[in-house]
Amino acid sequence: MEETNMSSREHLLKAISVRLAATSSPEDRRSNIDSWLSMHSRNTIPARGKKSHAELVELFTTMLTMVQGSVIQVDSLQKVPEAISDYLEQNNLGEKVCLDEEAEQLGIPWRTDSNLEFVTWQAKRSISVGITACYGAVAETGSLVVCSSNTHAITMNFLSETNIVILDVRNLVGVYEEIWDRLRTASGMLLPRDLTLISSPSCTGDIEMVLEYGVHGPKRLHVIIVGSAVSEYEPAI
Amino acid sequence: MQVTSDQFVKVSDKALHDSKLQASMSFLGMGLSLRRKLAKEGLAEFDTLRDEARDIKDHVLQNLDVYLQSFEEKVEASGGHVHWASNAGEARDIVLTICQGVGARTVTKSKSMVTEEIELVPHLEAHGIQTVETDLGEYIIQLRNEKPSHIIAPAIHLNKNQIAETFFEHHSKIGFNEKLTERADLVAEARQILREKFLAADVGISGANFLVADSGTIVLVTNEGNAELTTGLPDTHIVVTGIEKIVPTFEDVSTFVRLLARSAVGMEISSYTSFITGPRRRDDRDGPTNFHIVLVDNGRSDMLGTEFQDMLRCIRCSACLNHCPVYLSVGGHAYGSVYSGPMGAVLTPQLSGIDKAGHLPNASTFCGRCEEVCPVRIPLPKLMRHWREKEFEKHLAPSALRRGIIVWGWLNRFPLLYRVAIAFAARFMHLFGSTKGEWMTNLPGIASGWTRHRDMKVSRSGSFMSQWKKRT
Repeated sequence: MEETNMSSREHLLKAISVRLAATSSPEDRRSNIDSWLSMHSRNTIPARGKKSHAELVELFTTMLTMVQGSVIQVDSLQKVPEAISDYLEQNNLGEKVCLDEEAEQLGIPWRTDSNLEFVTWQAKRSISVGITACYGAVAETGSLVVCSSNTHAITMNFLSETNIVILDVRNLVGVYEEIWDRLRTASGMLLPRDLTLISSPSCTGDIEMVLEYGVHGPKRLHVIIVGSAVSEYEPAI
Repeated sequence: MQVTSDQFVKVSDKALHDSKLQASMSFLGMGLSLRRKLAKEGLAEFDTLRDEARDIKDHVLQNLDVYLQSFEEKVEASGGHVHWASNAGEARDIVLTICQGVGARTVTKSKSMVTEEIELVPHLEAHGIQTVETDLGEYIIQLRNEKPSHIIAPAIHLNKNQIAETFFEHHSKIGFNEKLTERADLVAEARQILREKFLAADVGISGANFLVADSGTIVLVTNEGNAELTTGLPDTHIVVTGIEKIVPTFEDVSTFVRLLARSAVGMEISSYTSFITGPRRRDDRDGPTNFHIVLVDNGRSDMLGTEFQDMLRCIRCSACLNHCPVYLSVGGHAYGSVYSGPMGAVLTPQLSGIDKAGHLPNASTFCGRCEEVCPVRIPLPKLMRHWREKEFEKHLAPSALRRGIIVWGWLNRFPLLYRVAIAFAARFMHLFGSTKGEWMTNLPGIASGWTRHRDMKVSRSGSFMSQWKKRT
């Protein structure tokens, strides 16, 4: 094919393969990447993420609190509405909350056992307090794992001025790699459109390098951990 | 990429006398290097992760063509579209065509150095598409019609008073009539104005920090949450990114996530790390229905298999800028390129030609701090040296410098003659020493350009060779 007739794609790929030809053949390269991709080998995992589950819950809390997040732990789903009411009252946030479907389906006695006032979620609207569930959490950096789905509009995590996230303690792990493993086991790594690690309220250092919270996303991030640390948890290797 | 790097000497001279800029720079230098040091000390495995990150990137670069095809396959399988752009013009046109195809009037944008490199925003604006930068720093410099002065803190050259003036000048036209003085108020005002832009945008444009070949996923890292609002709200999401951003697997990208924020600003992790795979699924509650990725070459593939290949490992963390005595003295604008500091001094000549950017690799003391802090261990001083050699080979350096180097190079081939010349020079220097005989403060002729600003120590005991002889 004449070079001038080649599409940018072919042109670009050819330019690269010509450069690489000195050291390997295309077949070699194909087998190089096939073997790398099939292994999913883990690189070095920080020791701080390999601990007992109780220690990981503590680490998660420390890491998130360090960056202006707040965390409380309750022992059952029944206690969640009250914990939310308390938090709203302490922070003067009123009683109106927006609940996403995923959080609605957790089995929490939302409407029978609370004085919260629910407003309906509408796409592309800013909200004051958004209550969401999550896929899990990672202790090593105090990160929540949130996923878009048919029951969760992920933009809600960013359009809420205050985001309250409910975390089932059993889904809290030490390191990122455990989350990837769980996704592989559960769905063969069928990824959601958007999986985001949320590790603090929104912040910026763009004015004079001083950290200001609440620039575009939530000003407040509050996590409610439900349940007690799991004794049979096995840390990552 | 249009650069004004040939003005480096002139602009940096001005920068050195700009007290506001100097204040910003000294704060940046002290703040970020300390924060990085603490973050590194907090993670015992940090240096091991750097070795692994270097090896992963080397593996990707050695197999780049097949990795890109594998990535493309996965993106298409998840419902996205991949476009290939050999150069900046092609990339701009692809993005414009997509925007026009969906009838876009307004576009929100999260921060992307590749879009700066290809000068995307002026192109879209010239075609009547309002394009709003949403990263706070980028938004500020967009209002001021300036280029970024730092790859992750684009408005670092400004203080809050200058930002307050800019906000007042622009926002008072849309009803924000109060002159603000506090940082928090400036942030709040920008939040309010930009929130409306997020909600109204037809298209969201982002870059990508990493591209995961195994799943066709793009990874975006921000602290503000603007990338998530940019990519999640409009019906069309366009990713513009460089071909070198590939990382094989989620396991591999985890290593880079552990390095990036710590190297950049000393944070354990950025506030938001998003892994985006394709457009919204059929039953999803939100997300764009159109998902496009534009893979930009623009000179990158030319670096493969050359002495500059290591530069393609760069993850744009900015650690090298934050630790560079030259960058911290003159700021980013002096470089005349969107890429500044040591990484910019290597990348800019590649993207724009050494004839235009020859000053940049010369603006280094070779102190080596950039290499010491680079999370992917790029030998930046060595690469700058390669550019100096190329500049010399192409006869681009000033003739006085060239002649000097030629004479020195010739002299160097005759050890005896060299020693005699050096011994002579060492004595000769004494003549120009000050009264105490310690310092040369006032040399005649062209050398006066040097001594006008600095003194030079006069050797009291002859050349290095003669001193060495005495010791042994």
